[in-house]
Amino acid sequence: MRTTRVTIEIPNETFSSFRKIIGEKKVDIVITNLIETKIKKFKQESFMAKARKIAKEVDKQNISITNKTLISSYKNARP
Amino acid sequence: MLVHKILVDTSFVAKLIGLGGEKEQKKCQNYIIGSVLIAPKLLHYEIGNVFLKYPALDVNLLFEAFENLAIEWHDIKNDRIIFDIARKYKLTFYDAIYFGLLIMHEEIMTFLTYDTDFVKITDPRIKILH
Repeated sequence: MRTTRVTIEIPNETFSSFRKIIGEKKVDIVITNLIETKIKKFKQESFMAKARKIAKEVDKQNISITNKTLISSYKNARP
Repeated sequence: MLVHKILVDTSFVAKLIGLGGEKEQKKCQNYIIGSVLIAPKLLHYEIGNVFLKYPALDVNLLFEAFENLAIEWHDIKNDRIIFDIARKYKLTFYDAIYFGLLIMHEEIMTFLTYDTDFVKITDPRIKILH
């Protein structure tokens, strides 16, 4: 099987655009499940740490976000 | 390997990010463990509008959390299908984009949302959270 080695700068590429690049270059690349897992794990951990901070701040400031106010905040803004 | 793909909308992503507090966030996280998240690019604009409504929160942190969330972004190109969906189910064109994605991608197993407008649609893959 022909394989092409690629270097991926993970912090600058989202997981989806990483897939897009592979699709555009049309090269035979073997992506192991391990690599995919590592990328997802990296993104997930980075996301989790920041998301936890936001959730704590919302609780601390006692910001009330009901489903109704949340949904209307973007639906009412639609053109 | 069968990957569990989940379609998410803005209401779900906002709570996943933490806009709803820790308890709600944990509930959202439990739904997506080990899954691949899918969303239309429209969600970028919608989440931006959500952030505008909460000036007391650190906007940099909000965007960083959103940008670090691993989502597979999809574009909808067949506007006519979306139009037909919107008309048939009496949805806005924007909401119809989410349902259009669900129809066009049979591999999506679940659509997670807090939006009760989707109650109009009978599809076992749609899960409306409360």
